[in-house]
Amino acid sequence: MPDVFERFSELLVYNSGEPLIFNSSFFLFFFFFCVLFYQFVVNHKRARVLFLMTLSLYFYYKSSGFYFVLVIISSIIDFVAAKWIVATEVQTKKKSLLIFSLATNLGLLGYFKYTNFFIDTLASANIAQLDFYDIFLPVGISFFTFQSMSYTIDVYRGKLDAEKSFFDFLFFVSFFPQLVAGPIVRASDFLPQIHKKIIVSKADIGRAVFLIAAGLIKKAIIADYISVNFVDRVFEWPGRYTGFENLMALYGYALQIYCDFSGYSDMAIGLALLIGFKLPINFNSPYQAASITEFWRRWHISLSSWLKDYLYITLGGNRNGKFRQYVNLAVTMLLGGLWHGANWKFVVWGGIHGLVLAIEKFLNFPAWVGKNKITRIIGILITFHIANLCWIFFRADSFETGMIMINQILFFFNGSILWQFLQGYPYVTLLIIVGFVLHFMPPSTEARMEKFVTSMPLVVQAIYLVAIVWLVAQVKTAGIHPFIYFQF
Amino acid sequence: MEEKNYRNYPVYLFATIIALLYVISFLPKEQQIFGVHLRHVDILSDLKQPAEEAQKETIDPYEYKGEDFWKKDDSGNITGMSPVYASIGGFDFIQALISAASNSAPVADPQFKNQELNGNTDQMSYFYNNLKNAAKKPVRIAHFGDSIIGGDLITMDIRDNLQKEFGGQSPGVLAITSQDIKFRMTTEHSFASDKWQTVDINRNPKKLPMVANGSVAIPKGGSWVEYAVTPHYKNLNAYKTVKIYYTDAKASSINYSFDGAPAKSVALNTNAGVQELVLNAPKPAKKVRIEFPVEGQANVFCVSLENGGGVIVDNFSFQGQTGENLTRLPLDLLQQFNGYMDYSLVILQFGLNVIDKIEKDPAGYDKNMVEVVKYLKQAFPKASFVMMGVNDKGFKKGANIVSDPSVLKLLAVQQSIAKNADIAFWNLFEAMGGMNSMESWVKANPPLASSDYTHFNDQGARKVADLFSAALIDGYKEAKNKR
Repeated sequence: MPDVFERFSELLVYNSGEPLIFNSSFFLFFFFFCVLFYQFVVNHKRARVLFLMTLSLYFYYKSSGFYFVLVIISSIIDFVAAKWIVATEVQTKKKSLLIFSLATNLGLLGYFKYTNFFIDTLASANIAQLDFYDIFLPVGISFFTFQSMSYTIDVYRGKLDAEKSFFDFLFFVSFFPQLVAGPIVRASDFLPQIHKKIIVSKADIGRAVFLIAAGLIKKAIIADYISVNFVDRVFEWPGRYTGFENLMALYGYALQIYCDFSGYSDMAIGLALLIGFKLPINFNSPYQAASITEFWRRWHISLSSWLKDYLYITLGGNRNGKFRQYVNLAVTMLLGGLWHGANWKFVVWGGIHGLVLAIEKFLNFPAWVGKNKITRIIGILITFHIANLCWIFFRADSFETGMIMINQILFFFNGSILWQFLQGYPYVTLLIIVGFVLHFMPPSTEARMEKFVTSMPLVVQAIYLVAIVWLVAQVKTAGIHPFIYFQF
Repeated sequence: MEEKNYRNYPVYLFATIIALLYVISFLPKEQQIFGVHLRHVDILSDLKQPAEEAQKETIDPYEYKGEDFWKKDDSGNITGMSPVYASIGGFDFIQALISAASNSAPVADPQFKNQELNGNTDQMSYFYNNLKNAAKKPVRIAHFGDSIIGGDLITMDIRDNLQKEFGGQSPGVLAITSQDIKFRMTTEHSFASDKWQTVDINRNPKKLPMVANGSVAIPKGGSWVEYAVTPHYKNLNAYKTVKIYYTDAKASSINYSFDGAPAKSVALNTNAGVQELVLNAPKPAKKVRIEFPVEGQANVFCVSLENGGGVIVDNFSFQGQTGENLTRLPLDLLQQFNGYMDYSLVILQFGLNVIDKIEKDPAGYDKNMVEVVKYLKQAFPKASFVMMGVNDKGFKKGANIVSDPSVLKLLAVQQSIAKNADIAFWNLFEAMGGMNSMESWVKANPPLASSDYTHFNDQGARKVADLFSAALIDGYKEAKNKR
């Protein structure tokens, strides 16, 4: 019996490489503990905030150890800066306070995420040879710094009042459902919810169960299975596979990255709903987009709208003539690319997207695809393949690997292995098909499914979630799909 | 009326979920429904002690005992006695979910272990003696294997290492057509894919002739093939001679050209048996193009790209094969081929394609492979032989990656083959780090193996070759010191 306690206390402390993710059974107990004790504090605003804030900081500690103090430091600086921005009437003083706040946030982000990237870049450009620093990348730093930056900028712009209570503000920055992987919640959306009475409707519960289930299926079943058993190995070594397999792996990756990212967002939104908070929608079937312009209104919406409001508009948006607009677009997309990771490949990825956005604007492409159903379908097909082309460079280890992949698809296609492929990868094929079919469902179908889940009695909802957890466990422990060479 | 507030509902929902998962954990451990194998789900398993595995009771003649297998008793016989590896613990649900989703569960760095050759190392002396004289007379090595050496992987780095130590600048034998041209780093190989009919050892109903590379190409007319040096292996930077091996030629000529010079024509020899046509480059060339203008002009086996003497290692990759069908290569042709090549060493690296079947009939594979070695000894009568044991292969136990139990079984069988065939054995599995080492190879930075937990990538192949070359070079030095 002491072993059980020992093992349990081991589980409670931070363990590097084991972040607390939603689809872990520890999280199941964590969340049960959360909702159970939440009942005692839910009607007392101060107690409720302190309780959720403490749990959130613990959640962050479980993922990144003592770097949770970063969240606190970053919050203190932004909270105080915003207070002083409101207090002063002098415009220059307001501006320098804002710059101080932004510089701190970007400085933290830059130091933890980009130091080695710049050292590497300087070295490869033969400017300077420096040693890499051994820097730990705190989980979710890109998300919470952007959240608190939105706060100071909105206060500076006069769109938002400065928050009176520091704990309320810290609660907003650290709120655990979206802390690690988004959505990036705006202060203006979230802070008002803190002060309101907590009401959870039956529809909220239904939507939460629906989203958590969908998120688990997307992230822990579809994305995890097809990546480990097929997509990863083709991207590792595209030269070993036919163009057909490369193309399937690319389509598979398009689905995988969507399922991975949006699945996690879905779970975050669902979990927040269960404790009475509404987070913004983050993905809206992005591959249904008929232009790249529309794609960015459907893909990682909380980031793209953040970049639009706080970077693109700040740069001048479309107010300074066509040429400046294109430049602003390019800068926004390049930096947006870099936000995804400290690597030039993400900059290239953002750059291609920016270029296509500019071309679409120039050709007025979004208006053309809006003409009728046929032009829209053509637009969807073109957009999907442009997005896929960009994913090659997003995913491939190097530019060279990406080019090999394109070369294989164009000049070594060998579509004749289709039948062997279907026999060799039945589950991978099935999951890719199911994933895309679900993705292309009209919004009304989704609403109907959500309504159906809402109408289920509690026990049925529980059985539904357990069935999915059970499926997740089956997938996690499934044997490694053997390597297959097709005869061609 | 105010809408009903459901905020305590999640407590009941999650309590029910946990209760249901708790009940599920009492279901039988392994089940089959409609032929689909279902796995046990236990949410509390991370709080429990790993279950002890049941002790095996029957005595298994093929039980893997590590390299202690080769320990000799007082009278000099191999004992094959020593402790057996401990088994691995039970399935952990939390570990399962966390490690799979985080993709960054801590895995120890690979623990390489230098392994010396074991088994009959005395018969390696022929090879070691030739190495000593490598400057005067070329030393040729045949590396047979499955897809693990496809595209010249591993072979290319063994070649590189031995050439650095003993001299040599030749890539050696290449087939006329091949599926691995896209990832072959040592030679840029291209051919008219619609102008050659290629038959390989797997599907050879007409019993077409073949030599050691196990495939034959028949020109359909206007057929060409090109080989060029690549920038990746600086040692292999030119061809002085290109030798073509063929048989059953019609009275006709082929055309060839080095470095894009005007093509020259040369007649084929219509004699029976394996023929060698030597093309000499006027000066060391970067590229050679060979054209077979006439349909069905000859059965063409392979070429050998050479740049002087020293060590030459030929890569003979038999994708998807277990090694057992090497006896399908006609013995007389192999012997004639060896008349040109004069192999000093034969390396055998098979096993991945028999892993799934090995539990059923280990003795059968043992017997067949002993026959293969005997057969190859007739083909290459002077050569030394070494069998490279199978590499570790990952297997999912719960959500952890461990060594496939069949790998251990196969290793024991391979040790037995080496012992029964009286050749040397080199244990790649132990050199990789032994039990459960494949996961550390896949998760190494940079990765050394592919995420199928079976195949090596370029870096991993380099490492395997380094470990193996070290064993050969150590063996050579030891033999030299003895004299």
